[in-house]
Amino acid sequence: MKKTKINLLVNKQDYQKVEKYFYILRYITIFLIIIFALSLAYVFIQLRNQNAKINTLSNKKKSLLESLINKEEDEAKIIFINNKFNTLKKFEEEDVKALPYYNLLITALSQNSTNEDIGTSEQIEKDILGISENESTKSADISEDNSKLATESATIKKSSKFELGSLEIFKLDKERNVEFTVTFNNLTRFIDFISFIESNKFLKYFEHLTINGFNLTHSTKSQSLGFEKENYKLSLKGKFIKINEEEIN
Amino acid sequence: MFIITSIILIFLIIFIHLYNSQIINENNLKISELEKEVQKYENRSRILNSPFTQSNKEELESYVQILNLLIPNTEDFFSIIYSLETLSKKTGFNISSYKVNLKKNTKNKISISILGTGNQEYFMNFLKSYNFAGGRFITIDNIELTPQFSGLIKLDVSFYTKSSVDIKNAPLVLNQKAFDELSKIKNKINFQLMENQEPEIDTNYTKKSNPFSIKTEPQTTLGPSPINATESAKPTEEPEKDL
Repeated sequence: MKKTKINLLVNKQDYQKVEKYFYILRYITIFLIIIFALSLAYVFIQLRNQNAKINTLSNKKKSLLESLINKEEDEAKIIFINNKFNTLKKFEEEDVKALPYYNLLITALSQNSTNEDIGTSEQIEKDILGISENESTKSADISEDNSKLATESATIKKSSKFELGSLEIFKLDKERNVEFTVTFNNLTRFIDFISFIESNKFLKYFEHLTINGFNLTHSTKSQSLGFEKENYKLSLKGKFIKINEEEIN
Repeated sequence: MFIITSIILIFLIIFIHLYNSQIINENNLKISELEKEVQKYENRSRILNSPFTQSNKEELESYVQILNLLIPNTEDFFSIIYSLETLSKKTGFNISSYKVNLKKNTKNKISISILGTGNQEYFMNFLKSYNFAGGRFITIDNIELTPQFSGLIKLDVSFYTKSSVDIKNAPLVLNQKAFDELSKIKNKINFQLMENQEPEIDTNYTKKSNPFSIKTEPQTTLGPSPINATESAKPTEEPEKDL
């Protein structure tokens, strides 16, 4: 049967349902268009900022490189100096640095009981470190003295003044282990030496110090001349502490 | 219509984000690398243009030479002998003999045993200045004074070498303390840069204008004199000899 009539009541309900969905869809589409536009704007701004930053940094790099063109030689020299100097410092740690330790022993040998030569702790420390007012080496005078060396046959063993003790044996290694033997032919000086090495002024420079031996000998030459001369020989062994000039200064 | 438009818009948004995020990440990497490079160059520029570097610019060359002398790149036995002789002269401590300790030698170190004589003063001078005064960097490994050496002092000393560093990859650091110590070392070794001097040539010598003549002309100083030159250039006439 042909449809000749339209039931508007039923079609209106169906149409209203569909119209509702299209209404929602329309707003979603508008929303998406806005999102699309914002995304485009965001990307555009981001890229523009990044390009500007890249240009700025590139220009800065270019100007810095131009300023450094003529300084390559100086730069190479500074790097070379730093590296070689660090190497030198590393090698310097292998050194025994004997001067303060040797000075300590020489100071000990020159002690006497009249209190004239016993200095204050500060003076002893300065003597040990070899700090004196006139630090400059007198090379001209030394070269003149060189010619006198052969005739003097100078050694460290005996000094011209027999009252002072002499350092007969002296061994020192880079671990600061020391062995030394001192000889005195004067009992008073020998006792002064022993008093000094027992004092804190001397012992504070040692980690440990022990007596290795003691000898008392009579000089045959003096016996033949009719009077006795005694030699007092004392051997010690120990280990120095590390003495730094910087700590004292 | 709206459905198709919405789908297209969704795809476009996703595509934009995916594609541009890649570009943005690449740009961020580029920016961070550039920032590091700029910082590195700024650091170099700051050091090389600092007042300290500018004031010590003339000293740089001498410090390089001093360090090359003290610790050369390769070992040179002549410099060892020369430094021991120099040290001996400067301090008064007479070094009488030396021998190489092959067992203690390493790639960068040569160990030498020396025997020396000297009174207390000279030995003290030696101990104060042995590190640098000879012109080579010297360390002492141990000291021995015993009666078996008959009054001589035996010292085991070491000389060092170190090959050059790769300067391109080494960091640039300004160590002011190093420069201060080097200026003290420079004073100790009295290092002097000798400028190349050409020996003076004496131009006042006898000359012959005719290389085949027997007579020599009297000494004349060289100078521009065209008249004399042309006259002296004429060959001298020798008398004909009858055969």
